[in-house]
Amino acid sequence: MNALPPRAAGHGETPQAVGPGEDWNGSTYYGRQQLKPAPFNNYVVGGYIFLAGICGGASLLAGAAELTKTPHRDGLVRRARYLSLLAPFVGGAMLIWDLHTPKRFYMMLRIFKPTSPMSIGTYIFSAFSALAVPVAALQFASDRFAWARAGWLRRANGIASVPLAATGAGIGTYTAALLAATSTPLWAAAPRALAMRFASSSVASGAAMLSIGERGAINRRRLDEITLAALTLELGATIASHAVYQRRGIGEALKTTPGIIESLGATGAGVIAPIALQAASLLLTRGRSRPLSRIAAALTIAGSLVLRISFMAAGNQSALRPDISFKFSQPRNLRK
Amino acid sequence: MVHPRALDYTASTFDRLIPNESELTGGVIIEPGRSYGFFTDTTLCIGCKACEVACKEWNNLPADSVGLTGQSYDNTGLLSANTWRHVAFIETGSAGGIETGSAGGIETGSLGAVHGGGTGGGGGVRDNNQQPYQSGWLMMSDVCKHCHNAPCLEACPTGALFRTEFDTVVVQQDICNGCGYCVPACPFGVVDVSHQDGKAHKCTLCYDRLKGGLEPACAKACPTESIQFEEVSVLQERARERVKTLHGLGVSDAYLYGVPDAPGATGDLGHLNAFFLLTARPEVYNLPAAPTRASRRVRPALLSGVATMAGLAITALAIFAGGGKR
Amino acid sequence: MGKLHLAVNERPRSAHVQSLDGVITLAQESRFQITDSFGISHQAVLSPRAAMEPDQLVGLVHSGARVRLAYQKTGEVISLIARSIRVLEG
Repeated sequence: MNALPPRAAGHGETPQAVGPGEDWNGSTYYGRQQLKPAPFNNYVVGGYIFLAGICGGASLLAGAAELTKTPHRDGLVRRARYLSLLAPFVGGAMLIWDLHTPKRFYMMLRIFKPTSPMSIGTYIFSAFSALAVPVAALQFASDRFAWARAGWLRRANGIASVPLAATGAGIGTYTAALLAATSTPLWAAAPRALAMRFASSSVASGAAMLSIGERGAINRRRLDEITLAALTLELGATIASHAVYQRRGIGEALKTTPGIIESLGATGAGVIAPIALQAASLLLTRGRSRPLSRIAAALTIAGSLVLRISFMAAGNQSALRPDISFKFSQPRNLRK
Repeated sequence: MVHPRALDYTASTFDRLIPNESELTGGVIIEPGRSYGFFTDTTLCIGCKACEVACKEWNNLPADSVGLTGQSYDNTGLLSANTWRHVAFIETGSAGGIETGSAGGIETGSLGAVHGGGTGGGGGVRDNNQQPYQSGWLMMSDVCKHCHNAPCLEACPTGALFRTEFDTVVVQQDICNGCGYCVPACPFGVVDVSHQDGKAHKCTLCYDRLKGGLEPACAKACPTESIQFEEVSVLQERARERVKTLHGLGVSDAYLYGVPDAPGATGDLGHLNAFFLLTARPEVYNLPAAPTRASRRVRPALLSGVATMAGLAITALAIFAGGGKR
Repeated sequence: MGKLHLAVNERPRSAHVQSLDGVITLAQESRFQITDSFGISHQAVLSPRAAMEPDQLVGLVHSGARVRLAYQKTGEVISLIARSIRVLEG
């Protein structure tokens, strides 16, 4: 890109402090917003992202358990299948509720647009729902009725768990692309690190949810190990993303109230604390401490919810504050 | 310079459209398949807000943000679902310079509003020694930029936002379901969802008027030719000439915002069909210096997310396949 | 004017629905103008919750039918928020 034209002398004696050729000096247009924040309800859309994460994570783990034919997996798989109904029913209702003209929700299915994560997400959501509902229904039938316990039916449902896991991976992570592909500075500044955070938070919350319901000590320990791995990855991605925000000059967004909640609540109480608890549980009690495991799981799940809501709210703050958004839209932030 | 054909239409009221009226009012014949836009020359703007009024009138847009802001003559505030032209006013204080200290003008840095009191010139006395071309005032009629690679259009999941036969970007009101994803996609903060009708709205570049051979309402109403409507290639050429002329007159600050390879047309946006001639940094007019195309972030985010999921899936497989000690 | 100002600057006192009879004289997308029996025109916007699509407004302009508009007021814009439009017989 061409630089702004150099400021030549001779335009009056008074120096023009913000002439085109000079660096931006921090002045704004009466402090007015330069961007518009997303008109989403952060609790509703953040809540959906959280639910989609749990469902996606749980389906992914159920698929992994089916693939490896882990012993005593039946309870885990059953709970994951029922859990995955949250996204189609509760999550879908939340998404439609958040539309400003809900009666036209079906317009989402008019086209497919690869440049729009909301369009991509519509189809990931549809595919996930189309698999999750029959898989859960078949599970319900086999729980209740003898005829549905035929071996081939259970095998078929086991096979269906694999594509369900694949779409689960999609539904747990596309929401990061949804936020990243905007002009809201905090959402847009670190697409890769954000996607890592959301994806690992999804798996961590899904594993934590299954761990709370798990009765077998061995599988609970396995789920806790997965939670620990996902949380550790999330912590790394969080540190990386915060470094990017500082480098791109929008660190101020993390100092807003939702930004502080994101750091202390989502990362502090929702990632670091459960990592410590899980590590303590696994190392000191060899994963036998059920209370410790449960507290850590509850913190993980709450942290996942707080992350989504607070990150959305902090992003809106970064859009509303021109001192942050203008820093983001400086030429030095353009990638080659 | 009245167009000779204008003499055929001397009556003050008409019962039908004048064929190709745009030729009489703007010197341009509007044909589908060509690329049209606005060139807004801020050095000609006198801040009359005729564009705002013409836009509201033609599009039957309700009044919003009624009240006084105390921010110079800008009581409109911002572009919104019901305001598709917005005239920004910047008082530069003494001749040429925008005061950035505590003396007056626009407060630097933080979120604060403007200082009350002095408008430069020292001691609260307004300097009456002004340079030509509105060096004491900056005024700009802001509008949707109708980007070449429009982020709002790329974000729209319903296809309500589309590119018209005039190369403009319009929200189809019969399709939009008010998801609001176009709002954060826009790097200029233009698109807005109306709480009244639950749809996204922005400047349509008077799509209905273009189809009827009429120049957009704002450009037709502009009394100083600050807003010019034409084919984009013609406008860009005209704008470059204007910058040269201004430089020759000593207005060395003049530059274009939104033509290819210039500020405003950065980050893969291509060019802006509605572009501007400015004389101060873009931020002064509440414009981003280097906006970007949001859809470029789709691929890195999706790939990174899928890779993370794959990594964690392999971890889970390994843990589940593990011996299950104890 | 003073009255209009009050209507806009005050938050809506109640969301109660009022009604107005008139003819729809202008329609642009979901925005329209309704002219009452005193010849006074009011700006209105069709709510997404109304059981009518904006396309139907154009038909009402052309037919010139008398309609009963049920509306609410909002503090955000000077406009009536149309909750329902019913064509009056005769």
